Amino acid sequence: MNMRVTKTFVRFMLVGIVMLLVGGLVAWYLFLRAQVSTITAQDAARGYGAAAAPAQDAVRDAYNAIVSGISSFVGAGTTTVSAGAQLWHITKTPVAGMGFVGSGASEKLRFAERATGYLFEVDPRGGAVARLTNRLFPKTYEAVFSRDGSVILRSQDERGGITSFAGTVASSSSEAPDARTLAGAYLARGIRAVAPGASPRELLYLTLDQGGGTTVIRSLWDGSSPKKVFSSPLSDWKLIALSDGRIFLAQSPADDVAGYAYEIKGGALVPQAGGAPGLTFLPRAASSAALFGGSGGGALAFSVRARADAAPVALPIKTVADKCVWVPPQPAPAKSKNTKAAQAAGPQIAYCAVPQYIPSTRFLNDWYRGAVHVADSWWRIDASSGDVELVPASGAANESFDVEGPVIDDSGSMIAFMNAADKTLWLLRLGTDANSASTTPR
Amino acid sequence: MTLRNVLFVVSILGAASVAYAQSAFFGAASGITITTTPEHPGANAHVHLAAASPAINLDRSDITWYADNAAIAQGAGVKEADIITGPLGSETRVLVVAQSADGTSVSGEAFIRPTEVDLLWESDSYVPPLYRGRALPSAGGALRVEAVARFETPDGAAVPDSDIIYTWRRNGSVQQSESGRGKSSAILPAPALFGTDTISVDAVSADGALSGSASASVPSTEPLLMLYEDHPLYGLMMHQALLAQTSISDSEMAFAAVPYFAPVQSPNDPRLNYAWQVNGTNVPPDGTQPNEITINADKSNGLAQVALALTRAADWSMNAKGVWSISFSAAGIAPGADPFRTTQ
Repeated sequence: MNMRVTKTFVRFMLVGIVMLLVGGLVAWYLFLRAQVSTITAQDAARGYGAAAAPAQDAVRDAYNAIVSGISSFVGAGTTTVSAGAQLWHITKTPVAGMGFVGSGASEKLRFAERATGYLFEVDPRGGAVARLTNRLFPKTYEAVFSRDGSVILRSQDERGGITSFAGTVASSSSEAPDARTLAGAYLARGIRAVAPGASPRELLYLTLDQGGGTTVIRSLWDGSSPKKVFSSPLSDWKLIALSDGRIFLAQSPADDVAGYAYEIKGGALVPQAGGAPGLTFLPRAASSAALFGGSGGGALAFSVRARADAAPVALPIKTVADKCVWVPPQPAPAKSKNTKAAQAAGPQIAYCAVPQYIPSTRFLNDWYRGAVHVADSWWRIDASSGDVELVPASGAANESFDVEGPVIDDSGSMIAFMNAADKTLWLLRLGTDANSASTTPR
Repeated sequence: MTLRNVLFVVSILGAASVAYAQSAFFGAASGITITTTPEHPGANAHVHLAAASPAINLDRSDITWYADNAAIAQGAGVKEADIITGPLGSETRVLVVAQSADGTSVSGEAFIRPTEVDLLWESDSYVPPLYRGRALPSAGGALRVEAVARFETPDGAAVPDSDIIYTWRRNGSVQQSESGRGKSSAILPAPALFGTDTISVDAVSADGALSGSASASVPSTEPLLMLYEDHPLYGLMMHQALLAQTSISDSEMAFAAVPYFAPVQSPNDPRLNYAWQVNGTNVPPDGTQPNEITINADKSNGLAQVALALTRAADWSMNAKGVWSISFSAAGIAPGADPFRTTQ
């Protein structure tokens, strides 16, 4: 009797355990299903469909992205492209920066490709484009060139900090022109701004201090022999170094916010401009001439000062000093006794890109954030007379450009610039038959 | 030349008269008080002088004004005069003498020593490392302010910061901990949400001979969310902010939100809470890079309504939002196409 009861009890126990297991599995299944549903909904929100894209599609997309991202010059050694027009759209892919190297007939334009950090060299007269280096610096956001072709390549590390590589193109004759390496070293992390110094091997840079301030450092190009030039409790400075050795700091501009600009002289700040809303500032080497831009009350204003003791003259063009370059002082005649005075007294000419239309009442803020872009025309400004002239330019007639970071060669005959809308590289040739004639100012 | 241009030139030229200051000693002991407008004129600046006296009726008196012993104005009831200050380090002695009808004579004396003070400010709010504009202050952040004082002694020597006593004020309240000898810079709280703070500084040389002041109105700015493509080759496309409605010739793209002027040091600050929505569905943010999102439009109609709300822990004042309507093209980029043209 007892045996029978025991068997029945065991049977019920087994049935119960089986039912619990089945129930648990059902509950687990339902739980997992709910989670999958949630994940699927989130993936759908991101756009990931239920079916994975075929592998060949992924390969194709990656290939297309790479092909479209690499310059057509890569691997081609030397490529010659059309270079006859005054305006030359040199690259179709973004660049990080550019600078002129050499002078006279041997003058070249160097630039760094944004995707790779490779350096290229352009013959601005013949149109030949050649790759110089093969050392990869992915996602190069900024490139600053010295007159001797040395470069600072700036990018961001994984923590969002700025990295700065100071490089020089190896000059080994045994290497193919497109296979040279970029020798150099990384500078300190977090450098806020860099500018080439007065001599080709000199570098100026702004470092951030612990307390939020900055220090201006002068060093050799590779960062060695650093010397403190100036310290400030503020950090929002634009660093401007001129070829005559003068150093300027201008507050980063913002619409409707008063800005100040100073020259660093003997460790002190000598005022250049102050109190103007949205101040942008560009001084000229070897003279006290300067360009001033302002953005306040929803409008831009622009002025030029020919001398330190002269009043700024309002110009009938509306732009920002960031879009301008001064024609470098030309060497004084050999018989001139006072070289510096002769350079200062020479023509004080600036070229500025002027938006044909200002699309925003807070142009500076929106432009710096990449929220608006403009179509520019080039204008010539004579600081001494205050006259402005439109610079006619042939070539690239159907393309517009939003000038950013212009640089001019030593002779003042060529301006290279990036199009802020896509970071592609352009070149404007000045003084040609087509654009030496002036037109009636606006 | 438009009126705005004229005003801009005046602003550059006249910055000294707006922000710069002067130092003057007023001689009331002899019976006449001299006041200057502006109170602290800069170098080579126009100064308006006014005389007042409790001793005699100046309206019925013959008054003579002298600047460095040269008469500059004279006549019955001439209680006001104008001068131009000299350069930094100079001193102009102003003397006014009044003689009433009954023969009573009183005088007043002032010494005008031009000084200049610039008041510079910036914020510690977030902007991308290579951003070229000013970081603007938002509620919860801090302001960094600096007074650049140019005090010169008659021999042309600059008075160093260590010999100048600075008094910082925020909306009129003295900031004791930030003020003192040599304290030419200060860190102050940013203005409250929708508020505007008036920051001012008084600077006085340790010997009291020179003084100046400057002030600035600093408005609060709301953090601004901008969305950029994070390109696999080019990195963050900070030069091409996504517009409210954007078409993209690709079927998948990574985006990064940049919280301009948020009171943090990094867009991935752990105090920031990114709430992403795509087509109305919540998408949990990435653990390490919550400001980034990748959207794939394969197997969809290609339209993505992206919404982002950004808040900060324990900070009710921060609530930035952005909405972007992105139209993807399932065809993707054709070989050789320029990806930078696709969003224009």
